[in-house]
Amino acid sequence: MGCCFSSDEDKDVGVQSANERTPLIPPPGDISQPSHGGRVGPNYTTPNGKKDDGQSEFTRIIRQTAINVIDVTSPESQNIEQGEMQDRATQYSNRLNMALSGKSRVYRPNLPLGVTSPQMTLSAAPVSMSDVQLITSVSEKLTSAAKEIKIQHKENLVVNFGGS
Amino acid sequence: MTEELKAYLNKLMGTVEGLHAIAVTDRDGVVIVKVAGQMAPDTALRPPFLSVFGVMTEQAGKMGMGTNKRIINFYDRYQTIQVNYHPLLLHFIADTNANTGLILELENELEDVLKDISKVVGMM
Repeated sequence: MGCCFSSDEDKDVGVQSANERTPLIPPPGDISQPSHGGRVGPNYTTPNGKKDDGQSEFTRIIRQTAINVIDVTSPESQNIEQGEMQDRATQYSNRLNMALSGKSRVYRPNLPLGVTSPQMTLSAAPVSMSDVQLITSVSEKLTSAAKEIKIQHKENLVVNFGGS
Repeated sequence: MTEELKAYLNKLMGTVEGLHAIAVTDRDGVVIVKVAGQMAPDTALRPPFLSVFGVMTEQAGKMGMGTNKRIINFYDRYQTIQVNYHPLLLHFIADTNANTGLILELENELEDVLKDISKVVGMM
């Protein structure tokens, strides 16, 4: 009376004793009871294979975390003994000799970046003397102009903040 | 052939004024090849110094900004430019006033050398 649908029955209520205090998720003690949809409640026991998967995943996360930790005091480098270092240096030297002896390669510096055809650059006509003189005179003028820049002091450099 | 390689490194070293030494090491700072002038500080060419960069570059790569490639240090008298060229480390030791950009540019000149030396480390 006076309220829409006040006379209708609430057909959505699935549990007879359900009220506003009925938990949506059944308490842990009730997990063995099947719910209304015919589904079995949360199953906390997993097969052995799954358990192992979880364990290995956990180990993996721990290992990954250890790798990600920034540790500048890592003693990895100090683990190598002086003798081992010498041995390794000798081995490197021998192997380097072996690797390089089979080559007839001569190391040469690479061309500067952006130069794909050096013959074009080298065969181009040299810059004319007038251009060189122009560049020299302009740069000298610019240098003298830069030296003559003076600051004309007009206002106080330090002013009171908020002052009129 | 190693002598030719060292001659080439010496030649490159001579192209940058103030560059005193070039060293190529493995991740643990074990020297594979190095050339050094008379002015090069001896301590900077020993494994305890060279190995530190291996650890530092690895740790610096965990800052969330990608792999660390180079670390440049300036000291009172010297500067060190260290390059992470996996699996090698490349070290330049130079005067503090030397042109850092020119030294960094040497990495390109050394690319063929580093590729050849990488194979040596890969064999181990």
